[in-house]
Amino acid sequence: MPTLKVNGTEKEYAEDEFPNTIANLIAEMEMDAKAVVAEVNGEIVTRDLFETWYLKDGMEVELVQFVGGG
Amino acid sequence: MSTSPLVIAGKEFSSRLFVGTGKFSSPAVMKDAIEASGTQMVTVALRRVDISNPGDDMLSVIDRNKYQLLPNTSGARDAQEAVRVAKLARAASGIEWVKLEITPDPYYLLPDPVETLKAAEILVKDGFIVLPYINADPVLAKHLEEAGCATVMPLGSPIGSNQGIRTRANIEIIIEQAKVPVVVDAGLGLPSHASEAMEMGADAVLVNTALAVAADPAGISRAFKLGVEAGRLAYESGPGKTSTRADASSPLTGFLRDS
Repeated sequence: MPTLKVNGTEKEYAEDEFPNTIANLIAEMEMDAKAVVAEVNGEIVTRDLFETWYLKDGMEVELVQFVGGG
Repeated sequence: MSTSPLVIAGKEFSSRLFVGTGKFSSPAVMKDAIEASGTQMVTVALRRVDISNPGDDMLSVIDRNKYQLLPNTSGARDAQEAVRVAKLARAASGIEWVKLEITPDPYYLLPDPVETLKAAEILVKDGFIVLPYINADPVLAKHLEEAGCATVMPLGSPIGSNQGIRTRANIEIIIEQAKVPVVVDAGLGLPSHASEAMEMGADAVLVNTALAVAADPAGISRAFKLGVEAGRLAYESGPGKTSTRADASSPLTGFLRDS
């Protein structure tokens, strides 16, 4: 079964449920895409590319957002 | 009352109080505190989304037309991590400003001077406007200025400690020598601490914990605003010198006595 490592956590998907794009991944996780930026295998992916950036089995994805900080 | 504006990287700020957004009990409390502080610059941090609980977007309550956002690199333990966070923050926000913060030591959160200088050089070359958080080291401050940093931000005392300015002698040297604005960051616990920094000639102060943990964050934020304004006005007014001996404020002639 295909996997993704999302924010350090290994996720396994059924063949037909694999999120093919970052947009799909974010939607599946019920996040607000406007607030998020992604890094896939160490490369930054900005919001405008979420729909067209294709994910493949075994990729490492980091999804980050702003939080309060000093 | 109006004091001279602060200019950082060509941008003018009428408020000399920068506010951090951590540790507030809710976004609404934070928003009220930010408004009461009169600030025009607020810091934010970048973190992994909690996959099990994505939560609210912090930025949604902060009006980006009103406030300059200053993403920080908190959590970074070396230059490489800081550069990575800065680039992600720029991609997330489109903002090139960054508060460079590298704190490998978890107990005192003291900034690493070697890694900070290394990261500053990389980020400046990459087009960032870099505001480095540093220990109150005048030599390091000069190196960072020469590397092209937009400010230097020496600490008063450890982050969140509310101890006030324990590095006074070194901050005085930094202020005397700096050609970029000096922002006293970290450890300021009371408006009098902020006022002290401004009276010393600091260009601005950055406060977070003192505002966020107070019983009335909006109340103390306004108090800090007044403290900063009072200190700056005093500095610009050229206060009198101190002396060890008394210097009478009433006339020394015409006393009601003989000879």
